[in-house]
Amino acid sequence: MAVETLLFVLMSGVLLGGLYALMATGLAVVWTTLGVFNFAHGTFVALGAYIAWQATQAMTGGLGLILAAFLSMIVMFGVGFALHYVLIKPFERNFNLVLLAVITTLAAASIIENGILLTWGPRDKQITPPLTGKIELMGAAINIYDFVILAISLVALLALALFLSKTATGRAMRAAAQNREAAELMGFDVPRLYAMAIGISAATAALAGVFVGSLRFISPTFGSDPLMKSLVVVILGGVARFTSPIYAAFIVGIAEAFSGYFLGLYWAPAVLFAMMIAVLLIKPEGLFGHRSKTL
Amino acid sequence: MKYAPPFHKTNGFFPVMLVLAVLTVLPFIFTDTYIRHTLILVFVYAIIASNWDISLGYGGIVNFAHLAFFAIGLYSYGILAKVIGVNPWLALALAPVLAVVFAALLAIPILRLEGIYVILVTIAATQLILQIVVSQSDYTGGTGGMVLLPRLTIGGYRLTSDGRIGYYFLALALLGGSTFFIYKLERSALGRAIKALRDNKYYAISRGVAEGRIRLLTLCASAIFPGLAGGFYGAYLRVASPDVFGLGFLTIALSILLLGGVSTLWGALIAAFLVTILNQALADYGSWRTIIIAVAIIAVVVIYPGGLFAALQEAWGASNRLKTDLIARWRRHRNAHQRETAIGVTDRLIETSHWAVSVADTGGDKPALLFIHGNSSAKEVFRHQFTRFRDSHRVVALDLPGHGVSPNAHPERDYNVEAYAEIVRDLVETLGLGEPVIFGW
Repeated sequence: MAVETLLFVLMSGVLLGGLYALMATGLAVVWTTLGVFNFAHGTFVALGAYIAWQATQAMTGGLGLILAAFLSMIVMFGVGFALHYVLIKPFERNFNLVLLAVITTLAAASIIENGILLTWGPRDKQITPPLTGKIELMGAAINIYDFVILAISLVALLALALFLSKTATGRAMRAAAQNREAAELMGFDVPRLYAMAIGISAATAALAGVFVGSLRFISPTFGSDPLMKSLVVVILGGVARFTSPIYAAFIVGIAEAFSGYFLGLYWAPAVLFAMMIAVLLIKPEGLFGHRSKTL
Repeated sequence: MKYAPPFHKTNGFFPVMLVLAVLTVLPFIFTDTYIRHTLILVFVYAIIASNWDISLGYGGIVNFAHLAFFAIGLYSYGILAKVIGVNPWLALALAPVLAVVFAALLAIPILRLEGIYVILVTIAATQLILQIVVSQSDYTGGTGGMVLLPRLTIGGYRLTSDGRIGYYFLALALLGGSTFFIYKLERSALGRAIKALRDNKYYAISRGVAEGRIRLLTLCASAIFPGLAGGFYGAYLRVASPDVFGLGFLTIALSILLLGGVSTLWGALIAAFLVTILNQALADYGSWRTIIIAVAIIAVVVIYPGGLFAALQEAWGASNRLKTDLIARWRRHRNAHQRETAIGVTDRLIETSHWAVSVADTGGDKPALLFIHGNSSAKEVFRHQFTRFRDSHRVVALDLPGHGVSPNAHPERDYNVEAYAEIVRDLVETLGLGEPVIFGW
């Protein structure tokens, strides 16, 4: 086994990990803040990619990819913000909230997916990557664009972390996540903070969608695979800290790249899910989590 | 969760027999194959959704691997009957066994998990099974699925013959068996233990309910009929495809359950009809079909989280109240004369803070006597007191809400001692009784 092959596999795993980190963090933000699992997250990724693709088309503005990505993130923030009031707010006091949120987000996923199908048709599309150069790294040729994606993903995550820990709004969101009643007593508009959490999660999903869409083809259903991967990541890492899903994302990305290379594409997802179930059996709160009663 | 069996007067037996009779006769009225096919699908969905209620509704275990039970039943039938070449009927009988084995394995990781973790693990388990199915294409046909599965025959008679009549009755029998099973399970000791764990886990454990074992049994019990239905589905459509693991299939089954109302056996059965027929009716609209159904699901869940069954129960209660109200009104007019001869005065309706009540008042400026009757009685019970005291006192008696000829009131707000006290206080004020002597019996 040549060193450059191993390095290449490792690099593709790290790149995957960066994308998974972006998607899983978005999912984890909603999970930790609202205590619900957003099944529409995968379709947020797809919708974000389609919006960016549309913005780059000559017919509708012909924006550059960077502008298109920003536009897509802003639109998706609005979509996520609005969806909270439709999908989750109506029964936030219901004891069955977790289950009801599952069904409404599933339904929303189905609406968005079919809406994409009706708007953009079933044919695959691709966002043209802005950079095409390659660099040599210890004998392995790696796309510069891959590095750019990884860097932007990490910067975006850092920005999100700073937002959550340093700004007043971010702290208010964390306060609402930790103790809703206390946050309300302090005068925070908790439903709005919740809506913002979903909006932020949708915006990160859109960014991930733009990246995935420029690496692979985008189709109306391409969100379901990222959704499942983010799910694995979130379970593997737990949500105890902001960074836990990020570490887990890189573990999953590298594990996927290596099992894909050595065991074949068909077995790679099975390895991931088996890994996840094993972690749940041994340490249900996640690899980097500690036991807590509430989410 | 408010739950009362429907049609409790008859214990459900006659309505169920009636529905069964209608479903038995139905295929002879609609000989069209397409209608029978739709009904068969309705039965299959009804089996899936109503059995899901065992874990999700009664057990409170949010098991999202429920459709994997169905899928395992389907693929077991396919592999056993086609690849291994077992007799189709034996393969059908083995399908639920394998589904139950999977349910038992699934129970191990989720025995100690709570809430959202259960959802995630069960989804992951489903995906794991899907990946195995897709990767083992030698046995399962991979992403393309298996086609031309062996069909079921009885002594050379194909169940598809005569417009699929055989499959229709087999599906109906499965649905009947499944419904009977759930009905009996819910009322058994096991069913009570399952519900006790859901309602108050620690109390149930302290009363001797073994949490782990009951959860295991809950999952196994909920896997039997979906596994069987999966085998049936394979024999009927003769196709096994990985679509059954998809979110679309899951959404349909879940929407049936939630639309019907969780923990209500009949709700899921009724919703299976509505959703499947809606699904088939919109078949020509492509993507719009899924969107319409999804919007309908959100609308129902947001506007009416209790589901259709709760709506039906409320409608039933409202119609009962309307009925008794009409009877009371009719009696007020019809028997007014009789009551007048009994107590000597005409009664009238007086508005209080708890709806209107019927009051008999002899009037006059004499010391007041107020009579309040007991439960299930009426003011006419005081007719002798009226005759005896009306010359010396002002005699007043009332029908409490829902009693005598008073109209109905709200069961929870108005039928209690506090509300009765407020009614009497209102009456004393409205009639100007001052400080009456109150007599209750």
